[in-house]
Amino acid sequence: MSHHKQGSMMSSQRVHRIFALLKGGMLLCALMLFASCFEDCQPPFPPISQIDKFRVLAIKSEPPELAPGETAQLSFLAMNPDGAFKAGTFSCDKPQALWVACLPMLGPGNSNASCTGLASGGFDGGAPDGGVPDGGNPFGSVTLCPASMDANRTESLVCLPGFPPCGETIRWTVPKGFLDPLKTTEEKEKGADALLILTASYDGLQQISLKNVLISSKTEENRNHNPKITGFLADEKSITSCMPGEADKCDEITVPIGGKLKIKAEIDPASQDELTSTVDGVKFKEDIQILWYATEGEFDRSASIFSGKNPPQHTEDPYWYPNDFRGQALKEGLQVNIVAIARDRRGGFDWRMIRVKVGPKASP
Amino acid sequence: MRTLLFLFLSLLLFVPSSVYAEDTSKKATDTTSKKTDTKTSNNETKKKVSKSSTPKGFVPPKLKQFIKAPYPKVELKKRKNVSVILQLIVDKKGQVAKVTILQSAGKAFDDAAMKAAKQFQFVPATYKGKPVPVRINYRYAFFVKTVKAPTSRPAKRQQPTSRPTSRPVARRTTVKKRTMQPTSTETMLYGYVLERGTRKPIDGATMFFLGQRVKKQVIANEQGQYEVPKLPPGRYRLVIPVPNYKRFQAILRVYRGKKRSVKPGRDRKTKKPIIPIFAGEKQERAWYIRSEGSGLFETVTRERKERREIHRQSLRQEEIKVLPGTQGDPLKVVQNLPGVARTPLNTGFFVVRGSAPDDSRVYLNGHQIPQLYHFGGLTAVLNGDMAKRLDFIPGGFSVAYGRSTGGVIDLQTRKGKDRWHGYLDFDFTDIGLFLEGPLWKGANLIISGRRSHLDAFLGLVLPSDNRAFDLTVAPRYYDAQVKLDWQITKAQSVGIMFYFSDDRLSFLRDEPIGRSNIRGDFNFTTTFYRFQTYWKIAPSKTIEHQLSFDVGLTSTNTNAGAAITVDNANYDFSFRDELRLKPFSFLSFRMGIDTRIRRTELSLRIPNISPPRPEDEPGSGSTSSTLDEYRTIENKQWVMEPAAYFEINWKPVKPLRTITGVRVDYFSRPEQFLINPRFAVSWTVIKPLTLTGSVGLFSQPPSGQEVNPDFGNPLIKSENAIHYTAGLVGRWKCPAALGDICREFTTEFTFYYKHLYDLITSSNQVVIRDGDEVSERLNNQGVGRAYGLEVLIRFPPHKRFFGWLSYTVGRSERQDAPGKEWRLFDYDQTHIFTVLGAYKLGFGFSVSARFRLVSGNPYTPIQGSIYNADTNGYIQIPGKLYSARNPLFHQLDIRLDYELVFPLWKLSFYLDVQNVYNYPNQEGTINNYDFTQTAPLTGLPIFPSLGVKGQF
Repeated sequence: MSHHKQGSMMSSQRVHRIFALLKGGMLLCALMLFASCFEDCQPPFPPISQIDKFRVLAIKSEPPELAPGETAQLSFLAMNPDGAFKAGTFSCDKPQALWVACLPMLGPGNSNASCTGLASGGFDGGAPDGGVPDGGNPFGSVTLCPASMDANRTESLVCLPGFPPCGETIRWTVPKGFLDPLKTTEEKEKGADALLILTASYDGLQQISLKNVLISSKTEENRNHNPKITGFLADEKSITSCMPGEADKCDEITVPIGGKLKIKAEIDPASQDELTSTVDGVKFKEDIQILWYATEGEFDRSASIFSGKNPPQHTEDPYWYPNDFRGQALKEGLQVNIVAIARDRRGGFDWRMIRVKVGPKASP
Repeated sequence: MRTLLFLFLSLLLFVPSSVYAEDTSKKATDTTSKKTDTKTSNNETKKKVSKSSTPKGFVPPKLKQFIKAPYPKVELKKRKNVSVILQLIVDKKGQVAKVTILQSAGKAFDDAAMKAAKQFQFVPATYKGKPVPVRINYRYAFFVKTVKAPTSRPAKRQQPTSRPTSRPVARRTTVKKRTMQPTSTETMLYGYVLERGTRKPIDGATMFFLGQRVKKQVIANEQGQYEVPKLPPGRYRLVIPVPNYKRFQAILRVYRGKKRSVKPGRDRKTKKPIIPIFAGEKQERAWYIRSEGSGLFETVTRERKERREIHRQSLRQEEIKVLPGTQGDPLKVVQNLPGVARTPLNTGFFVVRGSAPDDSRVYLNGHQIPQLYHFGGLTAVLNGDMAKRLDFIPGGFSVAYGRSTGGVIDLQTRKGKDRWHGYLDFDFTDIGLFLEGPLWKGANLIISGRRSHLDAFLGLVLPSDNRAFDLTVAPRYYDAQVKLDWQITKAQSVGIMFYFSDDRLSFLRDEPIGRSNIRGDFNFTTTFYRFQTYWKIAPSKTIEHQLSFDVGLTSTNTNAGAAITVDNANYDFSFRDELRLKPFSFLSFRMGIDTRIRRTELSLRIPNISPPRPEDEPGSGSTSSTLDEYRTIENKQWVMEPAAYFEINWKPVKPLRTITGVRVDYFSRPEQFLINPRFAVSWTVIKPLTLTGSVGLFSQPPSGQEVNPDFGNPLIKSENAIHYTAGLVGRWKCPAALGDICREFTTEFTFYYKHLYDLITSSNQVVIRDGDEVSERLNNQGVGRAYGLEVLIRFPPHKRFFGWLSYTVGRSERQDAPGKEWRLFDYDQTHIFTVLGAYKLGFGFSVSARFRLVSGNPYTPIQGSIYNADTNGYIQIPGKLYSARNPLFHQLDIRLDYELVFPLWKLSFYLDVQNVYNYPNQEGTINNYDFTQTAPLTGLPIFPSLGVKGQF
């Protein structure tokens, strides 16, 4: 009946057993934790870099900043996964896009006011839109100032539908009195945004896009300018790129199954504005971010505990892999369009494209 | 046991060693009764006979419920230790059918022992699995406790004249540095009887020294001290049977003369070493007795105090520490009580009866705590071992609490123990050190500190080629608490407490954010320091006065590169002075002052962009296209919030109790005087059933951000609520068959309705203020309502078990402005069901489990998106507000504890497995980049965590 045993010997053995169990248990727990985390932490969505449907990828205003009375040339880049830029697939036959300029209020609290000075502004026809391929007319009638926007604010926006004829440039002239509601010179120099709304559709898919264009009284040298992509390096070699919609002008690079392609977009240094930091007064060249998109394949991901499967887009020179986002190899012979979009994060854009073909599996 | 079996056959059964129990309330009395088994008085011959007659398949009866007999008053003057030998017939149901006196100790003792024994409850004896009636002998012992010389302090606070040493010493070796001195020159052996592992003195342990010719019984006093007079030389068997402890046995050999070297020997039968004792010299020795079943839950039998609030739930530390999924956090345990919504992803904020998380207050010893959790929910900033009791009042709380329209949680810290104890523990998130003990007479200290080790863990997990950011300081926290309580006199005590917490996270990001120049070092730091003190005086039972204050600094510093800095410092002073008067048994008063003063200093440098609001139109936030332009805000303000309260607790007739109170608050920001009357009533209609009800007005000042002129509205007013409750409380006795797990349980049904008005909601109106047109930003146009039924069936800790079942069905809604459609509250959960329990398995193991079944939180579906070329992102187009709901949540958590008990310390391990069956509960939805595809955002998968704790 005695339960009082010699504690030291027995307990020592038990301690060893417990520690052995603990060690094994911790390992098991760690494995379970990581397994479950890696399984559950990856959303089942294609990454933002993959063009798996019709998408507007960028909107450009040339110049990106304007003064009242000046005219901007507006263009957009749209792609779809199965050769959006082939002739005939993006034609004038169906109404497909619509531009609208909406001017926000310029009043107390910068939250409510009426639009001003639009009487003298509006859209105009002109040169072909860089983002509209092969002479197609992407314009048509779509409901503007969509209901999805808050009804309380819609009335403060004046929306100007523009219907330039097929194949002509979209030009928008800023109303001359745009900045009149602003009282001081400082406020006018600081300026205000005009909101451009683009509604584009293709094969039943519709996408609404926004872009702000800064209207101010700044001198031309103090305004922002669009960056410019001058060329590409593929695996450290220069290749010929092209504008979207001009695929036949591009070199085609073959990347074998199981291989990878290192790509780099070269930026014209002269297109990078020099800025002065408002934090410490130091002058610096603006950073240009490169966004990479491809109709197929996968870019290497930035490692981040926050990003999961939808990482921030690559700002450095990525590798492109002939795999889908689940890691499966693409089919041999598949042609892929890879697009680089340069943006200065202040409203300036440029874009170029290269072509890649998936080759046979590389011999080990 | 063999003796018992023999006696069973001959219908003369002796009590087995397990037939004893103890009433834990005995500590409050000077005299007490205790029973011992008669086996120890039987000689070896009887045992041999019984051994040969033991039938297989017989299980002796086991005492489940011991009834304490009062020491007869007429015998008190004699102050003698006596025993009455009883013969009991225990029937098939385990009840005592007949009691006969076998050996009398006098009429008074006999009568008391018989009366008590008739009320004993046994687990009936069984033979081959079937209950059988048995006759047993039972020794009922009465003894007078040794109480030291008169002192001005209450008996329960008396310190041992000498305490067991905390110095680790070998088991059963002589404890040195001891101040205990034998009181008699005839003493041969003296020392302590202590609990193995904790060194807790075992009060009233009976020691039997059984020799061939001499048998001696010695009883330890309430400090566990014993003295054995000189015994004739020879071999003795020492037996110490103590209720709820393993039976202790040792073999001694008493030698003549003084201490000298003798040949060590072993007992032939038990193979145990024979302990030499020298009759010519006083020797000191401590005996460590193992607790049964790794220590059972303590059953509280002291007089139940009247609740100050009608609907208060109190949790004890035992209930706080062992529940799965709570990491021993007292605050997270509250989330399992009725009326509290489940928070997603195991975060720890409180949504009480449909109120917003900010509407409930958490107090530490009556003063509001500045921060509840490290990093918003990881673990509480206060070590759960500091907790003495946690009171949760979901609504209708006393006028002593204010500035809240939700619920109240008041965590009371305990004083340090009367012996030095401590531990070092290591678990999934942190490593902690805890130390407590006496400093001087009446003064007890607790020191606790913890430091997270997530930084080391994340360093291993995160890839080194992380290009998005470089984690320079991973999430890291510290916290520490120091508390000193001093019972100066019987009537007067003081205490001080210092506690602090520090959370830190830093990383380096090369890539700018959005269109800004924001990049570089990112730092997030939250630190608070608090100093708390109290002075309490209770010169008589009718008057109690307590004064306390809490002062400290809370600092939050955030910077994102050199561009954004947010520095916020709050200097808080909280003062509470309360007087309680109880002139009559049916009437008591409570009055006090509850004042809070705060100095807020805010320094802000942010990009010149307005934060988006629900009313904002997609894209409107980008009206400022230059994120590299900044706005600097410096704001310093004093906030004064004095309050006074008065409450009358009146029992006009015994079953009826009313609490009527009023609280007067002044809020300096905004300038408002508010009067909050409150009333509660309870009426015991039939004995176990009590009807309850309450109604009251509750006011809550706006937060500092909400009255800030730069991003709030300085004219905003307080929010208000009226709470209505009606309930039925039942207190029931458990069936005798459940004696090991339940003595009583309570059932509570509570209906609540809460009307919320003057709620602060966002506004996009432009108003004229001081002659200027400004954005109103916030106003008091919101209203809300919350209503439901709460059910709680609760089994308080008793021996092996505690647990409860809680269920809430309710609804919480809001109307953000007059004329707007009512919508669901963000955390509205229609059904909240929780069942949990902990059970001591024995052999050092205990297991606890929790199962939850909860309605999913509402959410706003997304209808589509708009591409924003400026940010290269997509702006979601929301559907109807909170018009969809996540699927039903259900989860099972299990925790297993194991405790190794050494003579002077304990080593315990736990394995806590959350979401045992790995159900992918949906906590929200995740979307692809343009919100056209959605997938469920699932909560924690199966998540095992291990912990180890060494305590002495």
